[in-house]
Amino acid sequence: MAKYCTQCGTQIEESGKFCVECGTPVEQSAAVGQSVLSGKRERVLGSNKSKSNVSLFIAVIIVPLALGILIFFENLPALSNPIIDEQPLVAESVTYPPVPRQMKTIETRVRENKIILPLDVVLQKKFVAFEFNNNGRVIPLLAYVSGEGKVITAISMCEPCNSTRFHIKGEQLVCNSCGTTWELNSLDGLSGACQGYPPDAIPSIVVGNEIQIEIAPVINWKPRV
Amino acid sequence: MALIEIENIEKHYGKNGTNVKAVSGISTEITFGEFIAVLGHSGSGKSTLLTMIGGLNHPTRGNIRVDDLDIYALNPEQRADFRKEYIGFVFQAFYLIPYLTVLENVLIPFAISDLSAAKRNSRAMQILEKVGMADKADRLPDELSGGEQERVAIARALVNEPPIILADEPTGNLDSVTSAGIMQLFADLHREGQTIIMVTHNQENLKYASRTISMKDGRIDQLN
Ligand SMILES: Nc1ncnc2c1ncn2[C@@H]1O[C@H](COP(=O)(O)OP(=O)(O)OP(=O)(O)O)[C@@H](O)[C@H]1O
Ligand SMILES: [Mg+2]
Repeated sequence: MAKYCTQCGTQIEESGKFCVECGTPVEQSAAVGQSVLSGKRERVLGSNKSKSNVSLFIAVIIVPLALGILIFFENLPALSNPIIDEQPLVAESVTYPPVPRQMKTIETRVRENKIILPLDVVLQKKFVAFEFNNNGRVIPLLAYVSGEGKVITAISMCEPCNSTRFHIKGEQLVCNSCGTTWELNSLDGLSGACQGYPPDAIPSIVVGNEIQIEIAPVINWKPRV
Repeated sequence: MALIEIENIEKHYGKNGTNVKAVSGISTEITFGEFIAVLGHSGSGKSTLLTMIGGLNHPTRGNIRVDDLDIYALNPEQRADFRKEYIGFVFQAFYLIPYLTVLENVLIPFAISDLSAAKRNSRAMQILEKVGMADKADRLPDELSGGEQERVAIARALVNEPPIILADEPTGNLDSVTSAGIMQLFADLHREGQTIIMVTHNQENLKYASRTISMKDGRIDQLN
């Protein structure tokens, strides 16, 4: 296995003690690596919530069962997102052109633990970005009118790439950073690296000209990465 | 010990006959502190390889171990923590948030962390210093050049101090002079011990790397 100097990147002989280019001791290179990595593996394995005793059960019972169910359901449509299912219709079906429609930033109000968006503005702009400031922790949100005419409200984040900006192109929602695409109506992944991380839908209701979002699920939202 | 061990990985896309073999049998080891350039024609599987290493794309066959963690044997929660602890992504054309300043853009990965605001700010300023953007921390992305925006995107990837940076054509949209500046930044990070794996189309960029992996039809091209 080849070794490389951490200071200048020069390849070092397997038996070499110093980098021939810059003289950095090889032990130091290894030590730098260890200190940067220290504690990380434990933190990753520490997020093992419920594996140990149930793993055999999972292996013997659940996995074959789940596989059976999966095979059985393979030709049925994907499970839908229950939050999106419940979202209200606010328009006739909407057809987006195949040119990117970027988010427009809008102002919102907070009243009685609800974030209030003006429905007419959302209907006019179609795809809006706004924020909720929870004591200094700014949570990015978005709202758009889906192809079916539903208003969909969600946390505006694609966690793997830390992007908070998206655009709509035809029937797809696209992450501005990684280019991952999701189906606009369902937020099911279509292509790209981060398909498991569409904007995380948050419930909202429509009352008169207001789209109302309860702040509790927004405050309690945790990144999925 | 190798930081990243890639053992005979394959990735097939598509069901029912439309099977695309994007990666068909790659094995290599990557040591702490290496700067790897991944080169190859469009469609040769470079991005697929990168996302598999980053814990974002489950290989069809084979294993990837990072710091001795078999990343696709982890449960999804652990794999999410793996990405947070180990990986920083830099993409081509990283769109910064237009109405946030440079500093605020870099603070985004911290939006959900427990660090105090003062600590977050000083950490972000430290990283902006490193990428040469501290003096423009109050600017909006619109007021920056493409190369400067890319520097901010790199700062954003670095802010959680990941030991591994994965970059997919980070200079793809930049002119040659600006590219050279960004590559120099990656070279500086490498000198400080940062492990970097970078996909590039540009032969010019290879001189900054400590090793080149050439891809062809989903395999490592051994001739290179
Ligand atoms: N999500 C996907 N679904 C189906 N096929 C895919 C998917 N992603 C990539 N492919 C296919 O896999 C192959 C390798 O793609 P990949 O994106 O890894 O190539 P690449 O080397 O990064 O190319 P480029 O230089 O154009 O970015 C291509 O044939 C591509 O069409
Ligand atoms: Mg690619």
